[in-house]
Amino acid sequence: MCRILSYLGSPVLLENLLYAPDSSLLNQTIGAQMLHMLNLAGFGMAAWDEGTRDPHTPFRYRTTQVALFDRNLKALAAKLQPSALLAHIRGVPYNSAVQVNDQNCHPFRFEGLPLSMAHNGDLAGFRDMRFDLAAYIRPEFARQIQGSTDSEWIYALVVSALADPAAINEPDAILAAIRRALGILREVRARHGITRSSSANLMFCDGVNLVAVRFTFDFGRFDAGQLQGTTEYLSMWYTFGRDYGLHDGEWKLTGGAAGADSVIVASEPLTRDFATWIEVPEYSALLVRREGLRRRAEIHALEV
Amino acid sequence: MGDVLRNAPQLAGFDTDEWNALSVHAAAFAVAEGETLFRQGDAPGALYLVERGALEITTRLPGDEAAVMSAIRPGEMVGEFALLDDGPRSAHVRALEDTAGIAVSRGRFLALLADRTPWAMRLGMALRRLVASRTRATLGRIVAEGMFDPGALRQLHAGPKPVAAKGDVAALLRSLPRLGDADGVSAHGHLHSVAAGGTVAEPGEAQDGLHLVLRGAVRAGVVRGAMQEQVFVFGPGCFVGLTGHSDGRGQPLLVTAAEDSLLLHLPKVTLAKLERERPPWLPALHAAMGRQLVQDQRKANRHLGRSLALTRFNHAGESI
Repeated sequence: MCRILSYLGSPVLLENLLYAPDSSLLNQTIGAQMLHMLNLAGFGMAAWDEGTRDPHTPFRYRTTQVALFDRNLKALAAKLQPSALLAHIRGVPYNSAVQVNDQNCHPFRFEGLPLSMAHNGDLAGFRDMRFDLAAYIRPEFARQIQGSTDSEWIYALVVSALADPAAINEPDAILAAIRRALGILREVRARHGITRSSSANLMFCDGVNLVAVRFTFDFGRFDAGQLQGTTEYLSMWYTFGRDYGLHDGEWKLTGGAAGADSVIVASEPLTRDFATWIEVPEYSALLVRREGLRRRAEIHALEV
Repeated sequence: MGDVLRNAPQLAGFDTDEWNALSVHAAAFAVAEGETLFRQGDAPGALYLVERGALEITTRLPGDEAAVMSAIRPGEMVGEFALLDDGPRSAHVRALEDTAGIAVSRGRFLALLADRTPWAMRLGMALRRLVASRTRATLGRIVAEGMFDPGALRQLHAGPKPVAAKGDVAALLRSLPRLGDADGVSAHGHLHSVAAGGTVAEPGEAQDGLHLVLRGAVRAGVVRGAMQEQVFVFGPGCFVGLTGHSDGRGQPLLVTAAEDSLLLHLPKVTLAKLERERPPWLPALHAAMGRQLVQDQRKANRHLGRSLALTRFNHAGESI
C-alpha cells in the first residue's frame, strides 16, 4: 500500500531522512507504524540540489530491490544533501499478479516536466476505468506511460490538466489540476458503477513547491471480503522547523515555528515518538510554497 | 485514600466498596518539585490521582517548541489515556511543587476491567467522562481561537437526516477491527442510511444515544458562518456522538455524512439497559469507546496545535 516522504527546505543529508530515524522511510519497508503491510515492491526518489547542474531537473533513482539492502543507495545517501526530495517505497498485494518492475516504481515524472508525483493507495476497478481516462490525457503524455500502475495514470491526468506543464507552477495551479484530475476519476468511477473505497494520497514536488493530498474516494464503502488493506483513512503527517537532525538524542526539526524554513510531509512520522508531528486532515491538501526566503504552508479543503 | 480524592468531581459516582477496592489496587506515588512524572512519547504505564501538590502538562509542537496545556491540582487525575488506549503518552508532565497521590497501573486495571470488576467499570466510566470533557474544552478553544486557514473551510451541507434501512447488521459489523469483540452490539441497534451531505446531528442538539458507522464516513466540524471547519472524520467502526454521550452535555459539533453511509443507531435507553445487564462483551464495547475518546482528544489537540503552529509559521516576523 506504499509509503511516501517529501521534504522541502534547507539542504539535509539524505541519510537522515531515508535511514537514520527509528521509523525512517526505509525502516517502514518492514516496520511501518500506521500500515500493517510490508512495502517490498520497489523504491524510488527524485531529489533536487541547487548546487548541481540544471538544478530544476532532479536526481532520480529507482530500483525494484528492497532498498534496505541497497549498498549503492546507502553510500549515496551518506553524501547527498538535497533541498527537496520526493521518495517512495512500494507496497503491493502479496501475489504474482502484481507487476514488480522499474516502470512501476514511483515517483513518476515525464520527460521535460518539472513536476514529480508519488501515490499511496489504489483505485478500485482501475483496469476497467483506464480506457475512459485516456480521453483526458494529452497524447504527448499518454505516449510516455510505461508502467501498469493506476498511479502513473493519475500523474498523467494531473499534468494534462496544467495549462503549462513544462513550467514551474504555483501550488494553486497544481492544486487546481489535482482537483480536475480527481473530478475526472470521480466521474469515470460513477460511469462504471465503482463505489469501493479508493485511496489517492498523493505528493507532488518540483523542487520549489510541494503539494500533498490526503484523499479517499467513497471512504469507508466496501463489501465484506472486498476490502484491500485497511478500514482506516490512509494517514499523512507533516512537521516543520529548521535543521532536521539528531538533537538532544532525538531526530527532529528545531528552531520553533516562527523560525522554520523546512517542511517534511510523510505517510507517517519518521520517528516512533511523533510529538512534534501533526496530521494533514482527511479530504484535504497541504500546500507549501516559497515566499521570498521563507516558506508558507496552507491547508485546503478538497471536495470532489 | 484521603477525602480530597473521595470528594473529587472527576471521580464522582464511586460507592464506599468501590473506593476501598480501588485503594487496594492502587500504589502510592510521589514526585519532587521540578521532576518529570512522564514524558510525551513514553509508553503508557499508569493513571495518577493527585492528593497534594501540583503538576504542569506541556505538549510539544512542530519546530520542537513546548506549549503549556494545563495544571493538575489535588483531586484531579492525569495520565488517563494510559488506561483507555495503548498509544504513547501525549504530553509531558512535571511537578510544579512536591506532589503525591496514588497510581493505578494499566495492566492491573485492564485485567480487572475484563472481569467486569465493579470499581474498574466505575473508574472506566469516570475516565471516559473526563476525556470527553477535555475534548469538549479543546473544541471550545478551537471555536474561540478561530485560527483556521480560510481555504480549509468547506461547504456546509444540510441534506436529509438518516432514514431506516434494511441489511445484515451482524455481517456489516464483523469486518470492523476497531470494535474488537464487541460485535454483540449488532443485535441492539437500528440500521439507518444517510446520503452524502445529510445532517446526522446539529450542534447543541440533545442526543439520543450514539451512532456507530458501519459503512461510509461522517464529518464533524465547527460551523463558521456559511462554511464548516472539519475537525473529525469518523469511518467504519467509529462512534458518532461519543463526547456528548460520555459527558451528558449533548452534541458539540455539526455532524454530516461525508459519504453515503450506513449507521447503527444505539438509543440511550438501549445503552442504559446494556450497562445494567452487563453482557460479556460490554468491556469490549467500553474499550472501543475509550480508545476512540482518546483518539478524538488527541485529534482535537492536534487540530488546535496545527492551527496555532501554522499561524506562527506563516506569520513569522509579522505582528499577529
